[in-house]
This record gives sequence, C-alpha cells and structure tokens, in this order.
Amino acid sequence: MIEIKNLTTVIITLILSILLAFVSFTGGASEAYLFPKIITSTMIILSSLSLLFYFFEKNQIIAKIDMIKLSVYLILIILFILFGEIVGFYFSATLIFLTVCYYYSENKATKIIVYNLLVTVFFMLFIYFLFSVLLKVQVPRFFLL
Amino acid sequence: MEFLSYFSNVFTFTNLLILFLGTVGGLLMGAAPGLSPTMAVALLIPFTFKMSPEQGLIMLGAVYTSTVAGGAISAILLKIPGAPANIATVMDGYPMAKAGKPKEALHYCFISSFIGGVIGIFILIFFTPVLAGFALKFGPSHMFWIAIFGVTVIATLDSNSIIKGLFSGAIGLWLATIGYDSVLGVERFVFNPIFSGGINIIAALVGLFAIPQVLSMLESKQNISDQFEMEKRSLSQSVLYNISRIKALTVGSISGVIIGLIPGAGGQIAGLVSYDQIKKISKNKENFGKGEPDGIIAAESANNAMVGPSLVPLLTLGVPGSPTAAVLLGGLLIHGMFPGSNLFTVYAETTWTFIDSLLIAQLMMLVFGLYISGLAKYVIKTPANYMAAAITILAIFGTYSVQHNFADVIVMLFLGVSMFFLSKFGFTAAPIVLGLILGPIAETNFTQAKIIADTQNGIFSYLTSGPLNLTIISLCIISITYGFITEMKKKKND
Repeated sequence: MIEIKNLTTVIITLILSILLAFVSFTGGASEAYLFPKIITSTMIILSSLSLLFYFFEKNQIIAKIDMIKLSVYLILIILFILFGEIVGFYFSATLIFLTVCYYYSENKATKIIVYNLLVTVFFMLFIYFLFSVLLKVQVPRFFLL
Repeated sequence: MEFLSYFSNVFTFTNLLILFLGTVGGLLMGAAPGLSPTMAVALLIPFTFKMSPEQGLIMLGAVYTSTVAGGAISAILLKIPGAPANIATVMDGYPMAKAGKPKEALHYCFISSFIGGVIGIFILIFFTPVLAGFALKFGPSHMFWIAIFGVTVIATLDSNSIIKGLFSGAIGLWLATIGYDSVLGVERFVFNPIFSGGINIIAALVGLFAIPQVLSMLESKQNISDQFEMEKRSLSQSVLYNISRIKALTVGSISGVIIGLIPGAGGQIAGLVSYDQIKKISKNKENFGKGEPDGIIAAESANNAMVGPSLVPLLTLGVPGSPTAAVLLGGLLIHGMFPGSNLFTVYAETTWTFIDSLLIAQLMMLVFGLYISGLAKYVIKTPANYMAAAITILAIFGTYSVQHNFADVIVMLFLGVSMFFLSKFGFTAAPIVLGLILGPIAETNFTQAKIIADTQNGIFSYLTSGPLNLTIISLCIISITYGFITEMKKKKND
C-alpha cells in the first residue's frame, strides 16, 4: 500500500511545471512556442501558490494506492501495449477479459470459470459485431483472430 | 411559418424509418465510450452519399441529436462521458446513480434534453437570420477568452482545490500543443514518434475517464450499487419534478442557445457554463456534486439546446457552431448543397424537411431514451470485474476505431493510468480534457489575435479592449474568485 501526502503532490507539480517550462523556453522557434511558454509559466505560478498554501496546512495523507491489487491489471495493460498489435486485438482482448474476470473475482470455483468463459465469448462476439461488422473497423489481427 | 408546410415530407415510411434508425443508433453510439457525436456523424456521412439529400440529412440530424443525449447514459451509469458535451452531466449524474437513483437521473437527462432540444430547434427555425449577425461579432480575441473561460469554469467546478483544478486545465492546454503547430508547422514536444500527430481528443477523453474508473473499481472491488438500495421511480414523478425545475431548464436552454451560436464553441462549454450558472444561483449549492438533479437538468438541457443554434451559423454562413456541425457541413457539401441563402430558396424543401425532422428526432430520442432508462439497473448491478473488463475492451476498440491508429490506444492507456495516479494526488480529469479540447481554439485565436494586434497597439491592448472582451474576462475572474471563496468557506467549516 502506497501512501500519498500533500507535500508529494506539491513537489511533483512544481517539478513538472519547471520541466515543461524548460522545454518550452528552450524549444526553438519562439513564435511557435509562445503559447506553451504562457501556459507553462502559469503552471509554475500555480504550483508555487500551492507550495505557499502547503505551509498553512498539515502534511496529511491524502490517498492510498493498493499497488498489489492493481498489479495484474497494470501488467496486462503493459503487455497489450507491447504485443497487442502483433498478437491481434481479438486474441489479446479475449485474454485481458478472461484474466480480469477470473483474477478479480472472489469466487474461483469451476462453475464460475465456465461462466466467465461464456461471458467472454458472448462479449467478444458483441465487440466483433459492433466494430468489425457494423462499423467496418479493421483492427490488427493474428491469423484468424 | 414556412417550416409547417414541409412537415408532411418527414412523415413518409422511408423518412420515419431513417429517423428511427438514426435515433436508436445515435443513442447506442452516444452511450459507448469513445463514440462521440462528431465521430458518429463522420462515420455515417459515406453511407448517406447514396441516399437522397433529404434522407441523408435526416439521418445525420437524428444521429447528431441523439448521440449528444446518449452520451449521458455512460456519464450517469459509469462516470464516463460518452461525449465531451456530457462532462458536466457526470458531476451530479454519477453521484445520483451511486445513490441508487440511476433511473431518476436518466429520466431527468432525457426529459431536459428533449425540452432544451426543442427550444434550440425553434430558435433555429425562427431566429436564423437575426442570430447569424450576432455570431459574426465574435472575433479571435473573444474566442480566445471564451476558451479560457471554459477552462476556468470546469477548474472551479470539478475540483476540491481551485489551484489543482486550474493546474489540471493548464496541463490540458499544454497537452493540446503536442504535435505540429497549426500556424507555423513547427514540431513541438514530440518526445516519441507516437506523439507526432498530437493527442487525439477521443483517445484522451476515453483514457482519462474510463481507465481511472476501471482501476478504482478493481482496487475497491465494489459494484456501483453495492452499498445502496435501488429506488423505484415512476416516469410521471420524474416528468412533474423536471417541469417544476423551471430555473434550471431556463438557465440550461438559454446558455445552450447562446453558446451554440458561437462558432466552434460546442456542447462541452454549453453544459459546463449552464452547470456553473445554476450552481451559483441555486439555494442548494452544497448539494451540487453530490447528486443534485438541477445539475443534470441544466447541463443536459444546455447541450441539447445547443444543437439547433449550432446549425444557424452553419446553414446561413457556412461557419459551424460546433465540431459536429463542422462534420455535418461535409454532409451538405457531398449533396451539392452550399450554405447560404440558396438553402432557403433553391433547396428550401430539403432544408426545411431536415429542420422539421430534427423536431421529430427529439421526440423519438425522448421515447427511446426513457425506455433505455428502465434498463439502467442491469448495468449498475453488473459485478465490478465484468464491468472493468468490458470497459477496458470497449475503450481499446473504441479508441482504435477513431483513426485506425495503435498509437492512439497507447496514448489512451498511458493517459488513463497516469490519470488514476493523478486523481490520487487530488487532480480531476474534466479540466484536463476540456483544456485539451479548447487548447487548439485558444491557441489558434491567440495567434490570429497577435497577428492583428501587431498592426495595432499590441496584443495586451487588443485582448483587453472592447465590451465583449471585458465581459468575458470579468466572467473568468468571477468564476475563479467564486471558486476561491467557496473553497475557503468549505475549509473553514471542515
């Protein structure tokens, strides 16, 4: 479990603003970067203000993130970004759907696994009908999927 | 009363069938995350090519009106606005659904959409020539300030901290500058080739709203309805209550009509401005953001009231009042119909039949929308793991279908996961999305304003002179000041 305090937020926004302003002010053709310069300068002012306000508040925990619980989903997303185009959308989407349904279900009985498989098949058929048949979207495919 | 003489053209079997298909299809497309009204109309234009101009325009008009309303379905049930126009609907629609009142929230949404939509179309019918002149008064400086106003409004509304809200808006404006500069053609902030085309708005909208919602569902493993009892709400109760909220309906409809007339402004600003206005004048200010019906009524009546007026500058001057109206212009042109006085003389029959069909489309949208409301409980009761998996797959396919570009899907997932962590830091998605949408409008008009100002007294003087500029600047200042005061009061009470 990761705990987030408001000081972390203030520091991250300040660093982000400074980085973006640095890129905007050293970007090149001044006319093209005029608008980004105005925006990033505004961001620095806003993050400085939040730093100022921070001193009037306590350094309290504002949120918690359960990274262990989310890790499976995040790994699936990373794998999709890396291999989704190669292995095809229908194949990878089916795997994502099945894994999320199974891993995040509290009941892991055989009956539920069969039910998950049926739901996955029907849902993927619906997606195929909506996008490939009705809207004629040509998604990346692997063999027949 | 010329429009009345063409009503009979709408009531043919073929035209009614086209209206029916357009309305039901539009509602479903609007409800699917990623399929915005602009995209739905764009997707249908090639299909209308083989139809007669009259039938093609009826189909496009029906899809336009119903996708705007349909976008509220996912906004209310899943906290994912189906289209940018429904961002304001999320703020009170989702809390109402969470409190076990999804059916009631959807009733308000469709009834107020219908009322706002009909008012907007009557404005289109009766005031087209008069209002076209008003739209022309908006120059680059005004459009720049309108865009900034849109960002400040959402920043003050959808955040617990006004600084974080404004910072989120600034992130959105900055994200909009990624890619090629539209005026000078210079490449900016392309750290990776996938960003060379800039950030696609639909990809950002889907990612920023859908993925954080999925991650929250999986983290808490709770269905939307887990902690709440589902309410029983009759349609007649909703109709009576909706009609009694005259203030919210009036504010929504008037805001929608005015903003619809401003070229390029679009439904997202209409919804937000009306939400902001009703919140300021409401006696129940503290209920906003917690499931206040007035918030839904004002936002939905505004984004549908915007539809009719957004066609006024389009039909009379060829200047679209919203991004979807811009795509609709393509639908007119492929049938050889050029905007201007010819539409009301040479093509009068087609034009008036199209406008009349919009009124019938509103009625169909109301009937089918209310029917769909009855099915809301099934969506709400779906287990979190199934819902999370389904949203992820819909988001991936929906985003890919926009430009057939895998990079858009990567951007969508990257922004979505980043937004989840940003939300833990207290930032919200709506100001970022609106900044991204309004960024190009703000920058293009700022650049145009600068070119004009260079021949006059300088950019500062150009941007801050004239009653219209000063009015919009005052509205920005009022919006931020009001946000600060509310935040301070809230902190004091806590």
